[in-house]
Amino acid sequence: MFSDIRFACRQLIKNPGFTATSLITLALCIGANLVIFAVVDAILVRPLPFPRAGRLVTMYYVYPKLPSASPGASTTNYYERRAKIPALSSLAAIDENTSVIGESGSTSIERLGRVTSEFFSTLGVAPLLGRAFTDAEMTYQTDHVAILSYEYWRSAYGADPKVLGRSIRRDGVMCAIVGVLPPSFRFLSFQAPVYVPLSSEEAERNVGSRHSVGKVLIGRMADGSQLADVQAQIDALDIQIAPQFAEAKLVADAGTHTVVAPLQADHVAPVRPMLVLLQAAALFLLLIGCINLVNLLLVRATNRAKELAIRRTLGAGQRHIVSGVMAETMILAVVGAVLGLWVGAVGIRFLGILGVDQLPLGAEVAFNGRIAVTALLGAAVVGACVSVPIAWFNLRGGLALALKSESRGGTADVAALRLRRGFIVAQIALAFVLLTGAGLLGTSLRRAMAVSPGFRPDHVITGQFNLTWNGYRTLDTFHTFFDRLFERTRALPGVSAVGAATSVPLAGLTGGDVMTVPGYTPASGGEGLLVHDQIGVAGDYFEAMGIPLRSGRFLEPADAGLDHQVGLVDEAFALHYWPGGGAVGKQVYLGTDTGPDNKPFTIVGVVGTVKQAGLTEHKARGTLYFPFSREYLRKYVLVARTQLTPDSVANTLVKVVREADPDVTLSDLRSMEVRVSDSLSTRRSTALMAGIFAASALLLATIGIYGVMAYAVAQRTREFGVRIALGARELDVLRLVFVEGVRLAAVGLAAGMLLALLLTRYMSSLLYGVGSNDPLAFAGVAALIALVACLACLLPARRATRVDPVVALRAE
Amino acid sequence: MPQSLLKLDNVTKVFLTDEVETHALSGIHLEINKGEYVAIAGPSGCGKSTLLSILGLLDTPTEGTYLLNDRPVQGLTPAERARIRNRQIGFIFQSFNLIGDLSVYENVELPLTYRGMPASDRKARVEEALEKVGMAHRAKHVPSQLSGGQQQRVAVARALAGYPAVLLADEPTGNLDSKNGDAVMELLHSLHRAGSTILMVTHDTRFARHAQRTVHLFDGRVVEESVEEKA
Ligand SMILES: Nc1ncnc2c1ncn2[C@@H]1O[C@H](COP(=O)(O)OP(=O)(O)OP(=O)(O)O)[C@@H](O)[C@H]1O
Ligand SMILES: [Mg+2]
Repeated sequence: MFSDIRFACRQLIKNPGFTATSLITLALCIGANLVIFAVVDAILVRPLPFPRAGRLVTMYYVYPKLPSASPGASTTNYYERRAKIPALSSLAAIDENTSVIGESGSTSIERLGRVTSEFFSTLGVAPLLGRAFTDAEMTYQTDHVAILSYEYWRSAYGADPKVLGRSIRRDGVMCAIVGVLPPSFRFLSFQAPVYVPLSSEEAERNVGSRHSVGKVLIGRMADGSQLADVQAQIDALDIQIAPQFAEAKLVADAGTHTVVAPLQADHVAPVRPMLVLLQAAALFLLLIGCINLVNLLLVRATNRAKELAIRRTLGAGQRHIVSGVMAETMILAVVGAVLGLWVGAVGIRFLGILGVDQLPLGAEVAFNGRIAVTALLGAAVVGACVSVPIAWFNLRGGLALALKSESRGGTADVAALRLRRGFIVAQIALAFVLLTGAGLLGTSLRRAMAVSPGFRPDHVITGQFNLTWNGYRTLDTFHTFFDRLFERTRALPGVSAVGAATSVPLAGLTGGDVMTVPGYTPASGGEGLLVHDQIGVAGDYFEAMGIPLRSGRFLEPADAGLDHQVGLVDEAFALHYWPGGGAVGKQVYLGTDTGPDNKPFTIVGVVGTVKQAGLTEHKARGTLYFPFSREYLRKYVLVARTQLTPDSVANTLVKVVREADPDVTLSDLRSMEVRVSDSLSTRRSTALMAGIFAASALLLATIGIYGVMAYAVAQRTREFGVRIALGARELDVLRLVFVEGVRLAAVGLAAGMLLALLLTRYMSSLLYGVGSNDPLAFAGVAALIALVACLACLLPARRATRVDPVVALRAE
Repeated sequence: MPQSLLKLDNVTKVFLTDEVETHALSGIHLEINKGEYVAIAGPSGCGKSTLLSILGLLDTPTEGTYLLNDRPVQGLTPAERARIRNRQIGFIFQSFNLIGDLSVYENVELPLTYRGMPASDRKARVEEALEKVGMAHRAKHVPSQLSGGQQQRVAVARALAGYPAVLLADEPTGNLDSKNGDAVMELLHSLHRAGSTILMVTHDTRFARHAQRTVHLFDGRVVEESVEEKA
């Protein structure tokens, strides 16, 4: 064995061209796999960084027949289920929020985790300093306490060991610091510097708020319990308490039930198809690379057929031959893997550019020992697989044949060539699948980018701000602030319109509400409740965002003084309820109550529909816009249209907001064009990655075709010489080579098309505006591969025409 | 009045390899008439094969002129040269040079397909040629299933099938045992009797006697021409 390795090393060093080509191919293919595997491992495979994380579950309502309703859990769920589910040893809730943190004049908007008492213990995390929250702290009167993250404790409090005596200013209220969390604590993808109690009042805990979803509920399964036990017990409880809810029938008609799911799997479910797809693509690439490697090795085996025959004559057994082959492929694979590790490590660093850290658990992606070990194990498998056809080739046929092959015009060559042709067909097929997949993703991206968002995203800057609780208790304070803010902003050079809204398009909606239109009878077939978006707006929001008015009028400052409430709806809303037109003047109730206590909105105008959830959302939910003053909403997005480039006014805007109220901070400043582009970032990265893989696959396949054709031509030099002597013209020879190449390509394409037809359907959830069997994509890829195959044949074909018959026929 | 078919005038061939000049042929004058059977003899490396390559339009002389059917071949395009090779010249090689992937029938058919002859005509010609060399019963075999002598007979059939103006044979018996060699020689002889023009390279004087005339080469020059007594 040792002598095999030494001999293999000597052979590899003696053929630097072959060795380098093989190693580069392997390094790139293994590297590509590692990059994706690092993401797959961090997101899909590796357990969450909590003790016995597999025992953690999440649970939430779904409303299957109410596609417009978002799934979620409520504070009520938490109080109703707590200690009622024996299969859960503990239950907790978190509200992922933001808050204004810091002293007046130097505030910042920070993420804020509002959590129940057992939140940290459910996860299995104990505070580094101090304590967790208590049940008694879960009311608005007693919730002035906070727990800091380790990182925030270090950066904002200099890791003060006596921090527990100090306090932190949150939304203008001082909160006593009662604890510090251990380093790098993170709940799934949510990492907050400050945690506070998930305080609530009675009305938020009772049955009326059961479906006011928006919280995340987690539980730890009791020892001996399974997911199915939790599910069964929650289902039973749901049934038992269902009748208490006022709209029990509507809820039941919507098919409402609670989903219990493993915490991690549920969190990463949206990106699973994309990651699986990319990993599959990377594996395809590796397969293609391996085929090239096998083909290169077969050429060498052919050239060494005589040497092997001699070895066998001298008594080398099958075992010797196989171990000789294995030594060589294993050395290649392992060295390739080491280089691949380096490629992967570099690649992983570039993942940030593709927005991988924005994926669920994406922040966990890193190069680590697990990945290195996986790479080496994978390489061993690759080495073993690659050696199989080579060993077969070397052992094939009797010894007499091997020795004779030299004299009788290369039967060894014919067998090797046939094998290599088979591999090329497979390679073309795999490349076809990869290219089709990438093409479909690219087309989807193009289609998505071509979607009109319903507003004019150019020259619009947006920024988020929160109003503090204690500073803004009355409507007047809101008005004063907004008037001051808008006045100053409007005075800025270049600003043509300014407004604010509780949510802007593509920003991740704050949630919708059930609405009732008097006189409207729901269509039969389950349409009981319809959830629509509701958005509070201030100032000239529609002009600033560039949302067109279709009929009626925009909202005006004077609307706040009216004794009835007015609002706007978008076209989707208007068309749903009044397909014939005439929405203006009609009334809409929030919720299902149409009694005297619930004042309706009178519609004064209809505006264009905008893409709220995403450019590729299938159907608009319909939106009701109302003056911001209706509710004491505290989170706003400032929207300004400017003649200057949006980024150039960002800093000025921050200053203006700060001047309007030192406690308010403008953050997350992005132009709408950037928001539009960001909303497609996952789609773009997927398409880009798939594109890179497909291009590499095409390149490798081209090299593969070229290699086989060049070799075939070299083997047939004599034949071409004879043909030329007999009067074959250049064209006859060219045709001969091309026909061969085209035949290979055609068989490969046919196989690839079948394979793609079978496989692309699994990616349909990632596609937009294009079918998974899009004939155009298939035809385009087929044409591309055919073209590339012809190019790959070009050089060998020309070489064939250049064969000098005198030389070719003399060479014996 | 004998009609001149091939005529070389002061032909020289110089090979340049690694800055070494090899004068393979120097000042060759040679004229071959229609219907002649000429042998070229001489020691190894004297330029026999080179001469044949030039006559077969596989190579070009460094100097001198070559008239084929009284027309100079200089300045012909590669396509025209291919056409002449295909129609006027039949090659027979020492190492047969049949194409292993093609059957006997297809090998013989090959030169005919290059001139775009209809399949039915090709069939007649191939069958006729195979008949002449006595290989008709092996039409479906591939070359590796034949003995050396049989392969060479197929090669002769391939050379004949196109009714070439001249057959060029480079040591056609070099790879054959004497029995098979005799058979091939007998075959060439009978072809000559039937009217073919044949130019054959050999260093075996035993075979040279079949020819009407023998050209002796030495170090790239014609040193002697001997004419056989016709029986
Ligand atoms: N392509 C070439 N490049 C360089 N030298 C060549 C080339 N072809 C032939 N020669 C040289 O030209 C001379 C004549 O070669 P040629 O093949 O014509 O000899 P030959 O008479 O056929 O010999 P043999 O009887 O051994 O076949 C030799 O010295 C040979 O080395
Ligand atoms: Mg010779």
